[in-house]
Amino acid sequence: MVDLSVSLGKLVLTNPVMNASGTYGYGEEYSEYVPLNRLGAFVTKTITKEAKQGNPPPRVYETPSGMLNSIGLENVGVRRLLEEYLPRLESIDTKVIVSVGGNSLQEYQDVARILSGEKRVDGLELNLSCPNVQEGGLHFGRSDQTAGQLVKAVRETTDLFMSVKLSPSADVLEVAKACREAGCDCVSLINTIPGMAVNIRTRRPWLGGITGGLSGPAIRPVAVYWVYRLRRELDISIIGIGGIMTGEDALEFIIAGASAIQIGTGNFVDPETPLKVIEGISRYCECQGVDRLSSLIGCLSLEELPHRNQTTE
Amino acid sequence: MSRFLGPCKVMRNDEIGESVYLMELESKEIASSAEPGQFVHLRVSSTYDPLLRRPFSIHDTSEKSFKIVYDVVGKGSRMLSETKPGAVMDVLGPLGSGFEIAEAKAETCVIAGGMGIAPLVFLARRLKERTDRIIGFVGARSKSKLVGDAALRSLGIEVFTATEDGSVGFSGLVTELFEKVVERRDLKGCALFACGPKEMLRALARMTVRRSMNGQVSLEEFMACGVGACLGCAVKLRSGEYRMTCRDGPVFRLDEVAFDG
Repeated sequence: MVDLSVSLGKLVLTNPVMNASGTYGYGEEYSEYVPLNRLGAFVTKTITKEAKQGNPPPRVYETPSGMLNSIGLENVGVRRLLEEYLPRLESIDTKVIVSVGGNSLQEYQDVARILSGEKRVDGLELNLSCPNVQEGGLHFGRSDQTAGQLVKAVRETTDLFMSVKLSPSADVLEVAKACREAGCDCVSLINTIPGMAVNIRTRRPWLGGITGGLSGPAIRPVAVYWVYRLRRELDISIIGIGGIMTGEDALEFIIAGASAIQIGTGNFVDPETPLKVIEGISRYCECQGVDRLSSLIGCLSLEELPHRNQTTE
Repeated sequence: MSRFLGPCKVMRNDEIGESVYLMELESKEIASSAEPGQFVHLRVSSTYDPLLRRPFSIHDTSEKSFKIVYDVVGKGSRMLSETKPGAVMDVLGPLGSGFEIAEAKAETCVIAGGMGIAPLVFLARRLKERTDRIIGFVGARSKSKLVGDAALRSLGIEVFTATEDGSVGFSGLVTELFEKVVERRDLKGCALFACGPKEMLRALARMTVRRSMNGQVSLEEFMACGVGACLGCAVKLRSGEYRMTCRDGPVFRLDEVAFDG
């Protein structure tokens, strides 16, 4: 039996597989296919202080090996999450991470304060990178100063495990550094990449929100790249996200430096993806004689191979 | 709610109109639990392009199989049309909330525009158990693309057809045909069930509001998860709120949908 447990700072997970925020609702829609107990952690849809209605349709559009979304953080608000949805998770034996969005430092603080007293909440993932609405935090995540201030402010309100979810941009390493110095435990990489598609017949954008965020296998190499870069630059736990469909995909992230991974678009393609990814990781470990998955985290070898003398320019 | 997820064998996949196909898939589970208006979410390929599942209304069921009809409009439907009997498809369903059949009245009308015929044959078969006086209206661009009218007639339903190019039946839109028949036969009190492109449903909504009529419509939206998790297939209601096509629909009340945005 392979030991699949991993640690994200102070948070210990029985296995490294979670769902990505916004792809699993509040935990009920997929429970028929994947008992939440089987996930290393369950991540809620991003919650803001007040309920949000979301963006006008169409909200999703398929692209080659990927999809654009412009959901616009439709959510029930933190109060309804507490009253209606968190109680339903009480009997579930897995970690619960609440994804938090907001428009202001104050809003993030307020939501974090409300959640920090909740026994069913094991951690927060600060969404600093939703491309679709102002409340998505992208304007905080773009600069190391604002991101650092935000993390510091939230840290003052709660001792909960805290990860920051970032999009790839030129400054992502600086932003991650500032977040770590301000007290976050982990970085979730990557959120969707801003994207767009145009209907040439109507000459209008395909998405009601005009632009959206790209996810799915199309972005996986970009995500693996940023996990690799962050792992080399910074000593912090990483949750790898981006187009993971199989155990093999997940292992790329783990070997590149992620301690855990999240599955987003993969759930839509096959609701059983998380179970298949867990199985795939186990099988790989068994075949490779790996007893503890955690020994693989960041084991990427960059040693030159003897025959590698041809340039690839 | 009982949903099936797994492989279903393709029993037939025939071109029944110009680039319009009917596929029959084997599944006792889906056939026995499906209600008219519900849909299946189907993977057309095991690769990642096309990536997402495609939603298809359940066209009809038999004891151990169900049918879908589709028009070849893009890469996904083209691949589907090339699928041979004996192949196995990955199917999730039945999903969504279907038609309220209890609303059937002495006079009941079903109106299909183009691929809007998809859910209405199954529906008509169930309606027939409640009322003998069903009138079907089936519209398409041209005769070559008109499908489902024969299936309705075989249920013993009176069917009017319309084509935009006038190649068969009424020359014009199915909603124009429906409006004429409503006037001629005084069908203002009928129960109404419809499915079709958004422009058609918008016209139908305008026409029925003027006559204080109402009904049920099945909608289509770009969809990702199909189970209410991603909130991607939002439809705007006249109240200003959003509902999810996959979970709250695909069937909605005609007068609650904001067809004009």
